[in-house]
Amino acid sequence: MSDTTGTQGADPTSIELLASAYLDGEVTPEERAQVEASREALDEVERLRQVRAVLGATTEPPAISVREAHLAAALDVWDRMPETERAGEVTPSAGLDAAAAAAISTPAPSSLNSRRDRRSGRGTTKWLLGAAAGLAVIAGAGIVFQGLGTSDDSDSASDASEAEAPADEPASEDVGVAELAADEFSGEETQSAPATVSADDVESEDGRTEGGFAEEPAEEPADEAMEEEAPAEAAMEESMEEESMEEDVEAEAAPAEETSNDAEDPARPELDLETLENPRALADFGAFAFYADIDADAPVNADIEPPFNTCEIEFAGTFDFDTFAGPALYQAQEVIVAVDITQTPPSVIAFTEICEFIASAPLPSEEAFDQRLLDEQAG
Amino acid sequence: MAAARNGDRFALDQLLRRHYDRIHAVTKRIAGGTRDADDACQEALIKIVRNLPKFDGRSSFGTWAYRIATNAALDELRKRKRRPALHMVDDRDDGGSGGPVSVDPVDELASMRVDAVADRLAIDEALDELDEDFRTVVVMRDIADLDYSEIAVVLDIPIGTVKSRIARGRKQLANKLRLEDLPDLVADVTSETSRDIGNRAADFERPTDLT
Repeated sequence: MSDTTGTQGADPTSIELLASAYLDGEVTPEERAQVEASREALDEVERLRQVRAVLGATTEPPAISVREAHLAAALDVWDRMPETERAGEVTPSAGLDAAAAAAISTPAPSSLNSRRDRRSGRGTTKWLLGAAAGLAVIAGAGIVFQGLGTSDDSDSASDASEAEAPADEPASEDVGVAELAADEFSGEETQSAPATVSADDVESEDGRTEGGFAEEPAEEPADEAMEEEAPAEAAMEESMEEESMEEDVEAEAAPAEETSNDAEDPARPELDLETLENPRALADFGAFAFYADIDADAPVNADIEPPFNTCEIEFAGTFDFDTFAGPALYQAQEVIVAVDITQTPPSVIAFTEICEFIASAPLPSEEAFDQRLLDEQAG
Repeated sequence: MAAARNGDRFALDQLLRRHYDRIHAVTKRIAGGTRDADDACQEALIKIVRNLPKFDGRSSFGTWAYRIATNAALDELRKRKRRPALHMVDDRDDGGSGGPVSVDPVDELASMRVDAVADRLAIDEALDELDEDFRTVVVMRDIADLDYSEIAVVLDIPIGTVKSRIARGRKQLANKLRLEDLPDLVADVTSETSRDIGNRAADFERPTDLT
């Protein structure tokens, strides 16, 4: 066939473009006629067709063992998802709870003083790793931290949700980790106080309020408070073993709501979020979580994947989060803070639970951040 | 799909199995023939499961799933770039760069296998050399069998960009592959009678989306 109309004298690039689109059936009738009238274009089509065939032919299927392992792991994740999540009934407030849970598995104390304490290794934190589901409640020497440790960070929130609410304790279905910590901390207080972690409940040695986030793993033995927690832990573990746990949670939800003083949303814990007033505070918040995350003695949470990771998908191509620092109040707005080191420069990102970008700040270098902490300590 | 979303575990298992080969192929071709690709595949499956309840059906399940697979593979690529020292070793399990494959030259089957491995490695290498933007769209089109509009949605780029990237990617791939040096492979894969079932893109089941 000779070039009668179509591509004779045409730009080679346009021929390639046409040939490729023709191969995919993505041409207009005019373009189709143009290609079919040109020997050169048809030769190019044939060449590209061979490329496509070769490419497909050499895609080796995975080994059966690999496939089965992948599928089993995925189904296992499904099995461990709470019914509410499977049903897509996770509420926005639960998103923040999930953020809290994820943050808990990333050490993210909320004050610079406590950050400084942690990084200088003074070890003022009393802590207790939680049960298998990842719950931890820490109380000691006037310091109360709640923490959540789990071997599967990605499921921290859902695991926490599943682990919560021993049958004899009030709880609501989508109660957060913070609420659970408050519930377990003191029976009497739970009866009379809102089921939340308040500033009174969670206070660091220096008097600064902790945001309900986890501290580093303890190197100190548990104290009396830990002993007091033991029965609660045992009860929790027992409750985890019961398949009917979720029904129990639902059954107990009403008392929790009745006793709650939170008239607006009794089921939602009041997270004592750290207030970040400016980009620098945002940067510090993210920096601490990020650098703590890569400390050798810190829990490894590099691949935290909280249940609210839909935002990772929404942000795909824009942000690639390495570390979730946790929820916070940025300029009076509830946000989730994460660190994206693929940005130039690496950045701390604040976004809402519906994946709306709010703000970003450059992540300070570790040296600069350390120096800032030292300066504050000295000053 | 609907049954899976309603909590039917068996239905979910079947849904994942139906799409697994293509998800794996996408992650392998984008992330490379390393364990990173397997990690990306696993990551993609877990994300699919976790986000299935939130899947709104605005796109087909396949488009949605392959979008997740593509992103998981791209994430793995980024992670690899950030940690080059940990990933410089080619861990292909077929002995790809680990030295010559020892076979008995008189064993015809073994010889054919060596040829097949060599062909695959040549294509892997050519793909690896392709710019990431081009490789991604070519894989999505020629392996995942997504159409232009689906690719545009997945990558959030205009259809015109998809079109040009695919054309340029294929062109570069053709130049790198030098198909004239692989006459047997070309003859084999372009012959309807000689190809192995399940071993080319067209044989991937194009699942019928129920959404």
